[in-house]
Order: sequence, then C-alpha cells, then structure tokens
Amino acid sequence: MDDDMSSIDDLFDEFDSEVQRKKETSGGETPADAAAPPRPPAPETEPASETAQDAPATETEYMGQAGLQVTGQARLEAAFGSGEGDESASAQVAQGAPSATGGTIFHQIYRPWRGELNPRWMRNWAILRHHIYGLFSKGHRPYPLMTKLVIFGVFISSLADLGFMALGSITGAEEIERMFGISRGNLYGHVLAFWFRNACSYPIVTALIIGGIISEDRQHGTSALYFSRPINRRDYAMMKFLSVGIILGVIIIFSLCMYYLGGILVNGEGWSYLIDTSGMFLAALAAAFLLVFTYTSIGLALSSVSQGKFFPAVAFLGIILGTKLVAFLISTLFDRSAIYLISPYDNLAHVGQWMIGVNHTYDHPAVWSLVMLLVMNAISLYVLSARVSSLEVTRE
Amino acid sequence: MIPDMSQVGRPTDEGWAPVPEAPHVMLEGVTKVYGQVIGLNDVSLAVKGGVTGILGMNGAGKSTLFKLIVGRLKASQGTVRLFGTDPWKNPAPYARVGYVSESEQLYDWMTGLDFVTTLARLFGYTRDEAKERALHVLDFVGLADVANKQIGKYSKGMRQRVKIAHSLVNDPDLIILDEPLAGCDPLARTTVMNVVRELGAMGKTVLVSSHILNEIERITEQIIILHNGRLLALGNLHAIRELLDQHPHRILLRTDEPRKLGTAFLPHRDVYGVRFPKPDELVIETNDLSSVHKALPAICIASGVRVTAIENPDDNLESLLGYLMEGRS
Amino acid sequence: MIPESPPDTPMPDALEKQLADVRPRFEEPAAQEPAAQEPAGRISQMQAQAAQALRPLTNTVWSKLDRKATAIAEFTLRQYRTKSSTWVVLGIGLLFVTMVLMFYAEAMATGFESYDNDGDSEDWDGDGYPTGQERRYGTSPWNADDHPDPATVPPDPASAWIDEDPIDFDGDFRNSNQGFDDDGDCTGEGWSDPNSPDLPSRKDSNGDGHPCNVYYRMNASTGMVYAIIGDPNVDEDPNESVFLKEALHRSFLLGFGKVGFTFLLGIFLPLFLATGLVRDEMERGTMHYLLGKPIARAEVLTYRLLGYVTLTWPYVTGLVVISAIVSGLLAPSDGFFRWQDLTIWLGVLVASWMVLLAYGSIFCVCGLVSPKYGVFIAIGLGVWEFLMAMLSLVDPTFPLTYLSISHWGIEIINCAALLAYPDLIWMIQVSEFYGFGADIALQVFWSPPSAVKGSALGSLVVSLFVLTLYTVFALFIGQAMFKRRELD
Repeated sequence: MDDDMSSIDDLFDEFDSEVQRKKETSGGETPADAAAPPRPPAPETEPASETAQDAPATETEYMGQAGLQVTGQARLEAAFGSGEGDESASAQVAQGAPSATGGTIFHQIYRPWRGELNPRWMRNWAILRHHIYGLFSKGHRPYPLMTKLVIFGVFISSLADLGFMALGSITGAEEIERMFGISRGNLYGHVLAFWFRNACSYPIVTALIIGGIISEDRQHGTSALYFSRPINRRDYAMMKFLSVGIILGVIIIFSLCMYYLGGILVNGEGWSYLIDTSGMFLAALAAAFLLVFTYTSIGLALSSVSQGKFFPAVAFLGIILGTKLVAFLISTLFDRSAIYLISPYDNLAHVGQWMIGVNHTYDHPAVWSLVMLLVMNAISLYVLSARVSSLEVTRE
Repeated sequence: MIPDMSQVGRPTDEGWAPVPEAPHVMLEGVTKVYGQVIGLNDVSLAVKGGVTGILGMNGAGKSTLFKLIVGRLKASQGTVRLFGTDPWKNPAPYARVGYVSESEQLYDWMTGLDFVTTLARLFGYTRDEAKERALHVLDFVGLADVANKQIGKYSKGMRQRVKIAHSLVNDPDLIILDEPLAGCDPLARTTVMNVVRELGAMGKTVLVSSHILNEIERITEQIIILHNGRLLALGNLHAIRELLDQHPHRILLRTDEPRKLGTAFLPHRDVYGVRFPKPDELVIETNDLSSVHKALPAICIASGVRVTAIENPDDNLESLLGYLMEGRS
Repeated sequence: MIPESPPDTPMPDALEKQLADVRPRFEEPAAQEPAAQEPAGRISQMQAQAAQALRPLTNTVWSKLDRKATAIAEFTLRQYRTKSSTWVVLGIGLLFVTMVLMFYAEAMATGFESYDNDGDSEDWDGDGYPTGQERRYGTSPWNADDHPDPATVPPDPASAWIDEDPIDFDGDFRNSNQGFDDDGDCTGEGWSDPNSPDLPSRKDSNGDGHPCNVYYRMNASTGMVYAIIGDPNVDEDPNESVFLKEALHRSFLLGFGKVGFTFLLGIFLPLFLATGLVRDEMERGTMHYLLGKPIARAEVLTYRLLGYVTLTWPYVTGLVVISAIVSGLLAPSDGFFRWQDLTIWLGVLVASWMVLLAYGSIFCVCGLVSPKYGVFIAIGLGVWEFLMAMLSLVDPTFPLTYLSISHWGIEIINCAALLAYPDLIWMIQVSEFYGFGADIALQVFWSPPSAVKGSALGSLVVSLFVLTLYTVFALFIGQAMFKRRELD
C-alpha cells in the first residue's frame, strides 16, 4: 500500500521542502534584546501580539516569520491556521508601531485576594435564593416549566378546602360549611389525607423538586461551582434542604395556616374559638412540619445518590406510594397493621392522628410509628451527608 | 496491512441497490434551518471517489452537512441523495456508508471488540461474520492488542480509532469522518491520517472534515470550503490557492501625508492603484504583494514621509472569506 | 472522484482546469489497488464468491432476526447489566416478593380459632367427654360420674363438636342441599335416644324439604345468594378455619397477583428500565451508532423493547414460579401441592407480561416523544395508573378505569380466577352473609369480570386484546415520532 501512496507523499514532500527552502533563505532572526528593561506597552500596540518586532528594512515577513510571503497559501493558513482557537486571530504583518523596538515580556504578578469575606449567612442566603427565586425568574436555578406548573397547581388545589369553606359561607349553605369548616378531621385531612393530597399532590411536587436538586450538580459537575468557593458542604446540603423545605412548606404549611386563618375570618369567630381550636391547629402545624421534613430528607437522600433527575423522582414516588401499596396489600391479606411501619406516609399519618387527636386507623402503638419515622429521617440524613461529603469537585 | 474485506462478503442489502452511475453523495440546493439559524444555505455538490476534505470554521455547517448525508437530519429544502436514495426516508444505503460522528460519546462499558461486533451485526452479519470483520478492522486501525479492553479505558486517539474501525466494518464505499483529528495528539493524528489516506488509496470515497488546513492538506488536495453554511470553494487545493494569488491585494499605510506617499508608490510596476479612504490613510492595490512589500521600505524612506503603521487588511479570515464569497456570486 | 460541478455552482475555469490536472494522480492508486493483491487474493476471492452464492440459503427469518434483533436486544441487556439502578430495582422486587411470601407462610401456619355457637363442645363436669357427646349417649353433661364407658366410647376432642360441617368447596352452590350434620346433633343419628329432648324440635326449620341441612336461597336469574339458612345445630360455625384459610389463600393469590405483580412490579420495572431505552441514547448522543446502519428506526425501537422484555419477562416469570411453588406447597389442599392454583398463576403471569410490555412501550415512547419532559409525562402516567388501579380494585366497572393499563391487567387476573374457581362468587356471598366480623379480603381483591358480562373467557380475550392494542398503539406513535426525529 505504501507504494501506492508514494505519488501523494511526493507531492507533500515537494510542498514541504519548498516552504522549508523559503524559510532558510530568510536567514536567522535576531532574538529580542534581553537586556532591554521591560516597559509598559504603548497604548496603540496590540497587547495580544506576541512577536511585535521591527520590520527589517529589506525583508518581508509574515506572522513573525521572516521570508514568508503573503501568498494564497499564507491566506489559507491565516484562515485555517494551526490549532483550535485561532480562528479569530488576525494576521499581523509588518507592524510598525513606534514603541516596539524589541521583545516585551509582561511581568505577571499575582496578589492574594485580601478582601473581606461576606458573612456565612449571606453566602448561604445566596444559595437559598438561587433555588427559590428560580421558580419565579430567570437567571436563577432553572426549573422546568412543567415543575412550575405542577407546583402552582398543587398550591391552588391545597387551598381548595379554604375555597369551599368560603363558598359555603357566602352562599349560606350550612352543609358545605360544616363539611369544610375547621375541625380536627379537616385539619388532619389538609395535611395528611391520603386521598388525594398524599397519593398525588404532595409526593409528585416533592418528586419534581428533588429530582435534580443535588443529582444534577453531580451530573453536570456544577457542584464544583459551590465547593470552589468559601462554602462548606454542610451549608450546601442545609441550604438545599431548606430550599426544598421552603417550597414544600409554602404548599403544605402556608396553605394550612391560610385555611385556619380563613376559617376564623370567614366565620367571624372570637377569641374563645381561637383558644379552643389553637391546640389542634398547632398539632396540625407540627404534623405538617414533620411531613415536610420527612419528605424533604428522603427526597434529598435519593437525589444525592444518583446522577440524573429521573431516578430520584421515580424512586421517591416508589418509596411513598410503593411501600404504602405493599403495606396495604399485606395488612389487608394477613391483617398485620404493623406492616405499615415500612411506609413513611403511614408513619406520618399515624403520628399525625396521635398528635391531632383523630381516630387511629392503625392497630399498633403510635410510638412505633414515631420511632420508625425518626429512624427513616436519620437514615436519609445520614445518606445525604455521606453523599454530599463525597461529591467530587471535578465532574464525575 | 489492509484486510481483504471482500472475503466475508457485503452486508445484505435486502432488496436495495444503489442507483447505477449515481454519485455517492449528492446534494442539490440543500438548505437546513435550525429555528432562526441557518445551518446550511443552498449547498449543491456531488462526490464520487477519492478523499475530499471539508474545511470550515466551527459552525460553518460541516457537521450539518454530514448529518444530512447520513440521515440524522432532514433537509429543510433541496434534495439529499446517498447512492441515489434519500437517506432520510430509507436507511438501506447505510449498508454502504461508514460514518464517524464528531461526538465524543461512546459506550464506555463495552470492549472495543464488543462495540464493533455489536454494531456490525446491525448491518445484517451473523455473529461470527461480525466478529471476524471486527477483528479485521480493529487490526486495520491498530487496536488489535487492546480490542478486549473497555472503551472507557481508551485514550482519546484510541477512541477516535475505534470509531473509525466501527465505520469500516461493513466495507463501505463511502466513509464520512467528522473531525476525526479533533483532540488527538500528534501521534494519534498521524495514525488517523495514515488510515484515512490508505482508505483513499483503496479507492473509497472519503469525506473528512476539519477546521485546520494543515490536517486536510496532509490527507488530500481535494477540498470543499464551507462558511456560514454556504459553499465557498470546491476543488483542488492548489487551484484554489492560485486563484487567491490572482486576487488583488491591498496594503494599508497610516501616514500624515497620504497623497504624497501615494504619488511615490505609483511608479512601481506592480502597483496598479492607490486610494485614500481616510485623511490619514493610504491604500495601495497590487497584484504582487511580495514585490511591493520588498520595495515598500525604500520608497517610504525615499519619500521622506513619516509612516506610523503598515497593515495588510487582506490577510485575515474575514477578507479571505469575503473574497471567496465574492468569487462565488 | 472529483466532485462534479453542480449546475448552480459554477466553478471558475481555472479551477476546472486544475481539477483536470490532478485527477489522474488520485485515480492512479485506486486503479492499482486490485492488481496489488493479485496472486494471494484469487483463492480468497473465490471463497468470497462462494460465500455470496451461499448467502441466500442462510437468509431465513431466524438468521435475519439473529442478526439485527438479537444484536440490539443483547446490547440492551448488557447495558442494563452495567447500570446499578437495574440491580437495585430487581433486588427490591425480589425482596418484596420474599417479604409477602413470608407473611403468607406465617398466616398459613397459624390456625384460626373456631367458634362454638351452641356450646356443646364444653366439658362442664370435667369427665373428659364434651357436652354433645354426653347428650348423644344419654349421659348427664353436669355429672362427672355419669359418662359413657371409656372402654367402648373414647371421649371426642372438643373440636369435633365445633367444626362440625366443613364447607364443601365443590362450587356447586346451585344444588340447594348444602351442608351436612356430621356430629348428628340435629338428626339424632347415632344417638342412644333418637327422641331425646336435647335434639331440635324442628329439624327442617329452613323449610327446604331437607331436614338438617343448609339452604342457599338465591335469585334464580342472577344466581345471587341472598340468604343462607341452616337448620338448628347444622353448620354452627360458618367462619370455620377451613373457610377462612381457603378465602385467605384465594385472596392472597388475587391480591398478590393484582397489586404485587401486575401493578407494583408491572409499573416500577418499566418506569425504571424502559423510560431510558431510547431517551438516554439520544440525550447522550450515542443514538447514531444504532441508527447509522441499514436498519429502520422502528426496528431499533422494537428491538430495544425486545431487550427490555428479555430482561423483565424471565425475571417476573421467575418470581411467579417461586411464589407459585411456595404457595402451592403451603396452601390448604388435599394433596401435597395445590394444582388448581396454577390457572390463576398463569393468569398472573400473562397479565404481568402484557402489562410490562404495554407500560414498557408507553414509557419508552414517553422518553422518545419528549426527551426533556418525557420523564414528567411518565411520572404523571405512573400516578394516574396508581389511581386507576386503586379505583379498579374498588369498582372495575367505572368507565374511567378502562383508559388505564392496570385495569386490564387486573381484569385478566379476575378472569383467570373465575376460570380456576367458579365458586368464587359463592364464597364471597357466604362471607358477606356470615360476616361475624371476619372481614375477608376476597371482596377487596376480586370482582367479577366486567368486560364481557358473565363470561370470563370473553373478558379475558377482550383484556388481552386491549392491552395488545395499547402496546401497538404506543409503538405506532413512537415509531412515527422517531422517524421524524432529527438527531442533533
């Protein structure tokens, strides 16, 4: 095969040697005067020019190489020169800047940064802000449109009971008002009802939010943007946690407060009512906090173990709905209430029932559920912290 | 060194046959629009045989051109024909095509042999045939000794070569290499270049793209220049170069007395015009840049005019492309 | 070899000339090529010709399949093998099945406590003979010294006087004469004093013309039992352990099959394994390796799914077989293995296969239709299916559920169950009638097939057809989208 190539090779050799010959005839270049003190470049000089030299009076030169002529070849080289990144460079030919009498070396001085570091909370606030503002405006963490829509929709739907209560009050339909008015059952239902809130709304929102919140940092290597700055990993994880918690909190806790407040305003209740019901409201509030905390910690743990946004989202739904379904299957078949301990939702519901004081739907003691809940949260937080501390600064 | 591919036969075309006498690749008035951006603008060309280099800057439309040819994209306008068949509608011509994309992504978990074998089977070879061919081509690109190593452990040059190997496994008539030299070190570059040259010598049609002239120059003299999606030049490299030489050159001098200096230049035999675009600028137009450059210092000194700058506004990419575009219309 | 000058791009004349100059230089080596390998190449060339001639013989359907289909399927399987999420998902599935089977085994091992409605199993005087037996032999149940002779009549165990009439699961509930007084405390059979005042005065209190039996009163047209009336002392404990165990076993089959296999495994396996089949390749930019071959895009889609199926079908088959063996050995049955269940397990298997295929193709197409939002669509579909599965368990006739895949999977199991055990309806009616707080899960996990009223086989066929239709429809949409998709 080499024989076959000879003709082409010859062609190249011929060409190469021609270029070589041209270079040789031009003679050696004098190196830049090393003794000349470095001086700042004159304003009209191009600082990018590495080889600004005097044009020898009788020679032509091209791209700092004496003897090379500006031919079609040179033009093509200028256009499609050597390596990458030089597409934008322009050929400097025979530049006659008055100050460039020799070579110039610019001394590089690196000074350590002696500025004042912002306080820790301010840096953390920047992370938090980045995640929350992203829901509303560009330039922060981008959430897909679908996620934003679902968050908005679920927020509106979680205010449905308030709406119905107001509707009942306005139309004077006592049935509706009684059905949606503030009661233990309704407060429980607002936070922990399985149908429809915890079967669909809350887990889906959580799944969508947590999907990429840490995993995409891992996938795209953007965690390096955080860890190359004065931010420690605990703060990073905490702010991620907080930002998810705040979004969920607005949907779950804020809407609960709205519902309770709305109930008082709509019915024009007095202080005594407030005092009577504040106990169960606070219990519901605590249950809501627990719900938000648990969902967030499980979700973030899943997000931190994977590299895409899909796995954590589906795995979260799998954990919430799948364990619920498994527990439902086993408890229905074999009458074992304790199997519900494997389901985070049922533990939350059981503890919530106990705190708010509605009828228990489980046979095992509520303390078991509480302990199980603590164990689940502990495991999730452990996984989260372990995985965040192993996040590489470089792209994985 | 070159394996005899004819031993194991062609892939089963299953009823498809190339249109006789059709060019391997033919584009007629092809335009590709990505939303608001034009990727390829009214390009027409036909290629049959030989190695052709496609030259263009990033975003010039090289990859778009290739993707259109291999049916990854659909032309917004115009017709694309691969062996006389529209590749977007019928994948059958791929049986004669090997395509190396610019993408760096490979199946890192596979061994080189698995990778090539698996993809070879998609041409319709049986398991044994595919393996035999895979070993052949891996040997051809010089990866025989690492064929059973995972691709994830390959160096960049090896990854390029395994991509080339996979594109050769069906003994294609047309081989399309999109930036095969990108990111290769000089050694890998030489190997890949040799492979491409040998392919050309074997009588295959090879399309190879690059944004670097030297690379293309080493491989072939047959080039196509694309810029901003337009076909700028097509043909032999030397011919294009000579055409460029014939184009009038300009030299720009910055001086306080341009008219006086201009007068001093006019007697020179190669200078055929002077212009004064600005009060302190003089533009000399010439057919032979080097002779004017040689004479330039002497004339300046003789005229006694203070010259503050000498520039050659034509020697950048924009002016080259501008010229090529003018030459086209 | 030189590009032909297309009509609308005129080349400068000089260039044309130049091209003509260079032309021979390039064509030369190409022309020499065949000559270079002249002597050694002849034999191999002949071999090649022979191979070409033989080729049509090997072009059978199977060898064609083996070439492309198995290549992609094998590739897909290997790809699964390298992903940890595959192993996690499969492992969790196995864990889940093991856990349910353990609960089942435990439930089968523990007995149910029977009720003694008439109190004749008690031994009030402590002589070792239960009250019923003492009455039978005419001795006093209240006197410890008055009992039958232990030498001729050994004392009965107390249970003989509780579980007197094990319900016969012959399925023939249309025969109104059900139940049997096997301890004789209604008929007086075997009693020393057949006219004893301890025997019931009205032996045919349900008025069906048969003394001492259980009577099922039913609606003749629907076959619905609306009353079960026993004569006194017959079938005294309808919540017998036998009945409960049988009911539990059947509801385990149904519940595990429906919720466990068709729903949980049926949806989570494809969600994790099928969504990325095409989407991941496109996102990573490796799709063109598969598509830049003489293979239609629809084929690639189908063969990728084939790879998915070759992973999930054997997996789910394995789980079904394990469950069938374990439950077949542990279930109440006459022999050592309960063969009748195999029909239901077959139904579970077919339902899981169909559901895995349908979900797989739908989720795969979701990822294909929109690489960016496909994930969200898949999650939304998953939740929708969850809701529909729950709804379908409660009320399978609700029309909205027809739009879901889980409904039809559940329907297949309903049909298979009815084919295996035609007395399911009767069992549920019995348990509803004799509630006694024994809430058996059978009502929850079985509803009569609803696709074709009154025909299990018809409903089965319809369900299979609908699931196939969903799959084909998804694939059709998928390939249509895929064909038009530009790979950037």
